[in-house]
Amino acid sequence: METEEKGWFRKYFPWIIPILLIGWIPTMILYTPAYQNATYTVKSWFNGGLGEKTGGIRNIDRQIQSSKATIASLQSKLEDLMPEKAYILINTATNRFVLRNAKDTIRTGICSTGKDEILIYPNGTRKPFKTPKGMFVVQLKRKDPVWTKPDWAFIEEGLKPPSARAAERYDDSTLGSYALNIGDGYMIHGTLYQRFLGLPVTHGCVRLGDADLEAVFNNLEKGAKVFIY
Amino acid sequence: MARKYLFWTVTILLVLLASYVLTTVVIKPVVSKSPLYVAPVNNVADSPAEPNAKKTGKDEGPVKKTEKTEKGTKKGAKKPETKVPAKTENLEPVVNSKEDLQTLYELKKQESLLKSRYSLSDEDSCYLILDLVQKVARLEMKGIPLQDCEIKNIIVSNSILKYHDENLLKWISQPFVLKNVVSTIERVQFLVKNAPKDTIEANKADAIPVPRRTEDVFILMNFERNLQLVIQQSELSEGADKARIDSIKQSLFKKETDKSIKALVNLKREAIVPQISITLSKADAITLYRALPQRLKMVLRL
Repeated sequence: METEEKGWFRKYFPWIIPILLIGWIPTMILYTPAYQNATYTVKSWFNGGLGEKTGGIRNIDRQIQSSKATIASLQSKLEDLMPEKAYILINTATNRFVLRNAKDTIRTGICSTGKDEILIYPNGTRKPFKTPKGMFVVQLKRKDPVWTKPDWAFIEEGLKPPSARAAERYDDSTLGSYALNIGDGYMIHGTLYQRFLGLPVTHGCVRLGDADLEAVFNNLEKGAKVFIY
Repeated sequence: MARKYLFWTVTILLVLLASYVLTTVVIKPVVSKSPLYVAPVNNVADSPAEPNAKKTGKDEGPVKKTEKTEKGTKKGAKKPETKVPAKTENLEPVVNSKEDLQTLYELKKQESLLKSRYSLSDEDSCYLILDLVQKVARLEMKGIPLQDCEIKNIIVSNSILKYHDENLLKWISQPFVLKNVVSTIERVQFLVKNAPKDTIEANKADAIPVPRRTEDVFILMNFERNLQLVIQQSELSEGADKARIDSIKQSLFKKETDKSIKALVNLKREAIVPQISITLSKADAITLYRALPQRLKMVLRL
């Protein structure tokens, strides 16, 4: 009896693994996206496409005309959103700008944007240097701007910030020939460090080369849109 | 001999059981559950609504319709039963030409895209327009195109491609909202620096900025309404970057396998997630990812 049992076990045991594999492998295959894609394809052969299908559409010509009218109306509404005056696009990832008007590109070039750095003051305060993203508006245009240096400009140089009205705070060379204020203390201005253009080196403002800055200053009016992304 | 019969009976029963499980848990959900979740308000299938209806409040057309029907059923169940079904029975079935249907659906898709763009122009942040027809991923804000990124390669699941246009229209009629994202790059990469103690230390600091290198790009975005978008760079990855991307892919595969095993154990499988995979240049992919808000809204054109 014992030998008969052993013989039976030896005879059928090798079948167990193939049977398990036959069950398990297709299960795993069936879970793959490739199978699922194939399933959709096969099903679509039988049904001529997947999902619910409505029957014939009544007055299809009228619906086509109506759809065309809606598209035309939407397109004109979207065109109305385009600024009539010149505007500027600033790409902080590539440090490039595009100056545009309603129809054309006026000028493209390199710029410098925020260096994405956090400066920790000796007292522990954290000051982030980052160019904000979004839509801004030119609030003020200035020729030969004078920069009122904030505290961080001194702390970054290892100096103690002077009093609010101290003469050291006023700097008439750093911002270049023009500055366009876009709010919250951020500006589009020139730079002494032309060799750093195209690199993220600023404290949040946007720096442009001299010729580009002049073009931007002449084309962007007060109220012009500035898109930073 | 009896044992032999027993063995084969048990084996056959097991195979039948396995087949049943496979059919109900694996095959049936994939075949029967539509992965294209219908947008909450379908403004495409209905008659064309006023484009700026959102602002004027005219978009409540379909809502009013449902209110009316609800009221009708509440007041009396007999009235709605009147001649409406009889009318439909009398109508002859309509047969449209393939060209007409194709034209209508293309127009509806375009209409849907424009409606979504117009509705998103109210938002304060950037949004993404993924135009798979023109192979362009466009960044837009306030209706103004900021940047067009050329899509070098597109792979779309059959779970999207094989569906009828009617179903696709319902799915894409509203912008997709981002749920979560897995990425090899960071949105903002801040460098933390201590202020120098004095001018000597400040002067010692390196004045020439060293541009920071950005890792190779692999982004996986999961959107509401069951859509997965994969953004990859066209440039080949090597070394540590490749290993990093591979490890992300492996962890995602592991997650998916775990989910599948759990589904097998619980005999419950969700509809699969349709995937769109696009390839952009590395610079475009970085620009796109860094510009997009955390709660990104995306309009899809198929």
